Amino acid sequence: MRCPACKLALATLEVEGVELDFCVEGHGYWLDEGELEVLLGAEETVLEVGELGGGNGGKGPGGRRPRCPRCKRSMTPVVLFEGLELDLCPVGDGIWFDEGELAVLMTELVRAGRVVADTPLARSLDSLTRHFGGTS
Amino acid sequence: MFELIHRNRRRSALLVVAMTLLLVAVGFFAGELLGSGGGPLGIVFALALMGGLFALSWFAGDKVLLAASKARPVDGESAPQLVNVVEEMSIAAGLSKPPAVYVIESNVPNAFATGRDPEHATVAITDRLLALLSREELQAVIAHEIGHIKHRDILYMTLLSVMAGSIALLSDVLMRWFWWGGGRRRSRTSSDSGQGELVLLLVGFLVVVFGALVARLVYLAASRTREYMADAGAAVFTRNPLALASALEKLGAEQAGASSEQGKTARASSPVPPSARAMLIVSPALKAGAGKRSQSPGLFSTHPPLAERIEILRQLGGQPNFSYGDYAGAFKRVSGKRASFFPSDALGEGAVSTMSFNADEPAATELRREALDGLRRGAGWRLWDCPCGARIKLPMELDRERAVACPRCGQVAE
Ligand SMILES: [Zn+2]
Ligand SMILES: [Zn+2]
Ligand SMILES: [Zn+2]
Repeated sequence: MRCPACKLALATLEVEGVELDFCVEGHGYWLDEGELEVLLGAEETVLEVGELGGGNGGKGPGGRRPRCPRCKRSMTPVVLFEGLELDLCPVGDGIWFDEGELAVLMTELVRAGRVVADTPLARSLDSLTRHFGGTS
Repeated sequence: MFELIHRNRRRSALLVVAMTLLLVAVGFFAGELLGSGGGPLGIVFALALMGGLFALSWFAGDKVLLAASKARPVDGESAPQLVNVVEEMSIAAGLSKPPAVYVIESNVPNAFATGRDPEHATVAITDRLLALLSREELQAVIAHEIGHIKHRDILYMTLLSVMAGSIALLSDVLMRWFWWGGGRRRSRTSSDSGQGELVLLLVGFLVVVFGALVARLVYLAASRTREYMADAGAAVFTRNPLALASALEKLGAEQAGASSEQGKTARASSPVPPSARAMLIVSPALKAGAGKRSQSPGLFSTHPPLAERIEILRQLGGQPNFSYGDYAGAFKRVSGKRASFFPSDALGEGAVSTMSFNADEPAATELRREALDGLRRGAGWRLWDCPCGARIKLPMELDRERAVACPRCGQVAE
């Protein structure tokens, strides 16, 4: 798998048995379908990653779209809420988070009343541990 | 147990002889249809074709299959827990030597066995399946594959598949020949040979057309009985029929789910080429056809219905002990058919006491991770354990000189 931004091979980070893929140049994180739920310790689906359609031209409204690291289709931008537009694989392989976008998502989840501290995600990344980290 | 294999061989030999006769017949008539007196040549050609294909799969079949499914080997050092499970099950099954273990990185949960005999056997499993199963369920799935190895199903099914394939190929070539007008030339030269020749042509035509269909049905029917026997073997080896039932249930649910979600089709494609499907733990057709399962799943399937296999195992699991005879009994109750493929000697074998199955045991994620890390090491990845407790895995393509900071704590890997 390669970074959608710089095309370098993605590396993998494993913390407490949970994995996520990251760009060594710091462009962001790739979460396979279902991994976000694992990382948040959530029983139910947090973010539906399914058939989105599109992903054909390589060019979307915002110019050239980044491509899914798994299937190479161009990803579909999905506005989750104001201030967070994520790139989702059009056939449901997973989600690309640009650097900082995981923190934005976590902030929003906290605002919505979710407990994110002490989730594997909060414990996995430096930037998140500082803001959302739990006891450990 | 030994008798199970022995009796099996006699039945199998009979089927192989029957298939050979069919192949000879198809070869003969194909030869005759292409040119008067060409029958003997057709037979020689048919047997040579089969021999060639068989030699190919004998010497290279497993390598081709493993390469085609992108399977990579792991060993006791790179994936000790998985290899340990395979060794345990080999001992339980009484194999003289545990099979080699391969792992496939695939989103499709499945497993298969390959190799021409128990001494040159391989068990391959996808990481998605490893992610789904608890340790007990994994043992059961591995035991099922080892059942195929123990019963020498792989060689046998390869042989049948090569025969059915040869017959299909001959029949196909002949059809094309006639389609493109080859038959016209033929009929002109024989127009004066009278009615006997016409009858011969007609019979030959029917043999060639239906021979391919019959051969395919024989192959598929044999494949299905082998699945039941491998299930029975797995239940006896593990003494835990409910574990296999539970594993099959998870597989069925996963595959049905994958097919109902559109768009998953792109990656739900099987990691294994069609020729080897009889060796999989569940039939990949389940996914593709799950939407329209009502269409005759029976005759044209390499695998028996999953629900039936699960129900038989459940019935065994409800007993304090069970034997091959009990499996045959449950088979009859569930399917309504007699388990005639079970050798009488196996049916006389003593019972084993049923182990209790812990349905709440979580998936063996640690085992999967270990196996995947083993694969990565084998593929040239560098694995670095950061002092903060994170493990960083760097693919081979990444420049070794590049400084990589741990995303968790910021320390830079050496
Ligand atoms: Zn990058
Ligand atoms: Zn994709
Ligand atoms: Zn670290």
